[in-house]
Amino acid sequence: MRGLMISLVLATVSAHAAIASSVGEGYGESLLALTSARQAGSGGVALEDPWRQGQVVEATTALVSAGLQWWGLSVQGGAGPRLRLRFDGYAFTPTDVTGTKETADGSFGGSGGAVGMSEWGAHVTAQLAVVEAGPWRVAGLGRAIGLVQRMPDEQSSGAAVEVGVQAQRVMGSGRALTGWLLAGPVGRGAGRGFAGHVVAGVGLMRQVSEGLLGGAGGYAVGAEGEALTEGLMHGGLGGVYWVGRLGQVGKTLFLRGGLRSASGTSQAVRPHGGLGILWRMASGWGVQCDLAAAPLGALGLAPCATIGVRMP
Amino acid sequence: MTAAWLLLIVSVGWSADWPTDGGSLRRTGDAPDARVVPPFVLKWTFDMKAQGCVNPAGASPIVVGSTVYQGTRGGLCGWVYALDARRGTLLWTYVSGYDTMTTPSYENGCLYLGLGMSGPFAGRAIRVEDRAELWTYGTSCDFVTVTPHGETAYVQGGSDGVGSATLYAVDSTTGALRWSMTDAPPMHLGGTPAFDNDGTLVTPGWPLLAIADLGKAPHVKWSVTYVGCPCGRPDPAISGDRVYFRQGAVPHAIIAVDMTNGAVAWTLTVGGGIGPCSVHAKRIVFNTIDDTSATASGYVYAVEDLGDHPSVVWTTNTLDSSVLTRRPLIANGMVYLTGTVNGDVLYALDLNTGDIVWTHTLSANSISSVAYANGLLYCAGATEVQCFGKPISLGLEVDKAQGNPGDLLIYTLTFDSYGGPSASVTLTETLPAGLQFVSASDGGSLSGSVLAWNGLSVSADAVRTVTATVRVRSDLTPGTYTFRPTAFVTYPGDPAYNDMTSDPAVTTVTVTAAPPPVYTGPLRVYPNPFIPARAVRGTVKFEGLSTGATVGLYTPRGLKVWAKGLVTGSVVEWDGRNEAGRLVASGMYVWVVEGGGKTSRGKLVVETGR
Repeated sequence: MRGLMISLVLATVSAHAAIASSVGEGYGESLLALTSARQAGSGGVALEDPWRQGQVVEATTALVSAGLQWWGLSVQGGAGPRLRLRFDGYAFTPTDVTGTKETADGSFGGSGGAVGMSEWGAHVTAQLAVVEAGPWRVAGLGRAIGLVQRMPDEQSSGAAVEVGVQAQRVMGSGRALTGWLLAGPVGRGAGRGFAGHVVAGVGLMRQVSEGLLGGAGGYAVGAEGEALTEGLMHGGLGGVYWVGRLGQVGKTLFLRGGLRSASGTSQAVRPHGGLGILWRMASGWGVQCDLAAAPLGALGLAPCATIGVRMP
Repeated sequence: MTAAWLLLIVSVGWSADWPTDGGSLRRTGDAPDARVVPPFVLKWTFDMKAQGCVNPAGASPIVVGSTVYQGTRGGLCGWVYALDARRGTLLWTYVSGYDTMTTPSYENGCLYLGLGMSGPFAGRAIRVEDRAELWTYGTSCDFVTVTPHGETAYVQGGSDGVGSATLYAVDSTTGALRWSMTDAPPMHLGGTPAFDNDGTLVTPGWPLLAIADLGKAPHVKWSVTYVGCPCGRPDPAISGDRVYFRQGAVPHAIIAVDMTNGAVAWTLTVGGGIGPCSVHAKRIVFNTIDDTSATASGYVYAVEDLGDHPSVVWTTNTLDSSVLTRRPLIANGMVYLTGTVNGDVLYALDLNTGDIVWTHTLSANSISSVAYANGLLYCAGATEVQCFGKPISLGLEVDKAQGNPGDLLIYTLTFDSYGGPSASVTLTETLPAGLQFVSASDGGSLSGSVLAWNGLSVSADAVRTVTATVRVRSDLTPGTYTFRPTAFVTYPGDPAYNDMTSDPAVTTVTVTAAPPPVYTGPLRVYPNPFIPARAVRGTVKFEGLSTGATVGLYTPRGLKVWAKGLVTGSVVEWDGRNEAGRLVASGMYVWVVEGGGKTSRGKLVVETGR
């Protein structure tokens, strides 16, 4: 049963990865939400199940046009039988930003050298199993956010906490329905205060014994929406198909795609997609690699790569 | 020569393809082709007899580029004359060594010759450049023709019963035999085969054969037996999915056959003997004889193929019954054919109405079929090759087939009076919008938008050239423009050439107006970092933009914050607020300037204190 739950939750996470979310306007956080495969769902809250054993270390980088690159590192693992913690840290330090000056009459005053700008942030997410009764699984979610942003004439920092709940119902062999709800202040970037937001989503996963390639496989689909107190609405649809059997030794290939949209930004609905592979070994160790890409309109295509190690 | 010849007005017009607004930038419509309408005058005569080899059996001239090739059929000498198409001067003579030659064929720089009348018989290929003999393929058939088609040349003969009627397919470069098809009499082969778009060959014999898979496994796809042998060749002509041919014996008829299966679609029976047909679109033109009349008058028929039946569009009585052996030529909206009963006459009929527009009495007997190119007609008699056209012929060339805004275009008008009179020429041109006059030779000057040369003289049998230089305006709206400059000559007031219009000189020039640069000067975005409270007017400036450029500001995740297009001036300013009017948060933003197919990006640090 536990193995099944692990599989279900992993699949749900993958499904969420294909769903858009747009929590926050911190740069690293934005890029993370946009391009990272494993954390894009549910406002970046790690939905790994609290019952799952083992630890995972992941490193991620995302590249946007104009030389904007983001680096991230995450560590997650169980802390006792019902609690799982996840730490995400990231750095966003764009280079080659050329400064320019202005004269007193408003005309061009020449180049002004390089402009320094950087942002560091961290999330700590806790996932606590509170109910495990029959087909039902319920976990409480909590997340703390911290950001530091430095610019030539401005330095600011901020922190916030939000809470939520995750529920899952097993619907027969190999099927599960998961829903989640998050609410609270969301960081709008250091120094920019916080806005309230509510995130709700639902995902359906199914594991099949005869997949498209003849072997075991499965799929998950989901939808997620986010409402911010500023009046903005974000949302997305996504799906993932995998080849292999989740949670077991061997290789599992993930292929996913989805659509996202955001109101109030003149943005059209945009696709995104990616693929990943997870290789579990009998020793309990595993490696994973994930490639994702999202078209950013005028900014071009933003690729994102994640590599990770799973430990027993 | 009348006094009216002292004034020739030559006008040059650029067709109205130049855009008049920015709403429809791509103009690809062509001006309708100017139509060459007779009357013509004799431009030149080439005397074959004086050269030593004549053409009593009527091989027809062919025109390739600026050269006319004329074979000598039945003159006991198989020669080829190569003539300058505009002047009729002899360029070179090729002596085959055979006693006659049918109408030659041309493809890819080679002439293909059918040689021999009293034997021996052969097909031959020579390279035009140096007249080198590529190959000679001997046959047992008389009246040989060679028809190149791709990599294969088809050598055939046998129409008069000398030898077996055989079709040889040989390599067009080496003459090596690829396959042959022989049939015992009464199969006859004469004239030239026809090909459809699928590469199926229709033999000019009896029965009519369609041969498919010519390159791999040639086989008879279908055959049509008709009443014909031995009363004349079918002379098939293919248009679309139909082949049309004549039935030379009673009942005389034109027969339409589907190329796909050989089914006879319809048969049009006429009263008398019938000549080869020509096809333009669905209109079939052929000659017949009214056998019932005392004079055996000749008629020209134009028939429309309506699918399952024909419709006679017009008939014209030429009173000339000798036209049966010559295929009419359809060119430029006219039908040209020759006859000999009423003298040696060249006829020009309107393709649409059948009206006889012009006739010209020739000087030599046994005239050939007619060739047409570049506004000039060519036909051959027994001893002469003759060219007909307008008294003064114009040629117009532009030095560039493609140009860009700001480019200079030099166009050259060459007008010759080969066969024509001496004249004083006034040349005018109205410059269209988009072109600016730069200079003109020979005293040409601009008045308003009209460029004119006055009093240009051209002598009889002479050529003269003037040039004009114009510049494509550099401020053209982006787009592609196609010009078809056309020049022509009129002869006002001269009774001999009343309302005569010269053959048009047409060429094509395409001007591509590239999109303007995104910015007119160095693109400057300042100040950076942008602190609205400190910046002049509280804005960041995007300076150096061109009209049509757009500026967009985005978050690093691609969400649009603000955008604006430049309408006037060269600067766009942003006050730090998003499209909802709220001051944006501090941080890194990406600006994107787009326009003219070019995109520039940069990073802007914004510090709003939020």
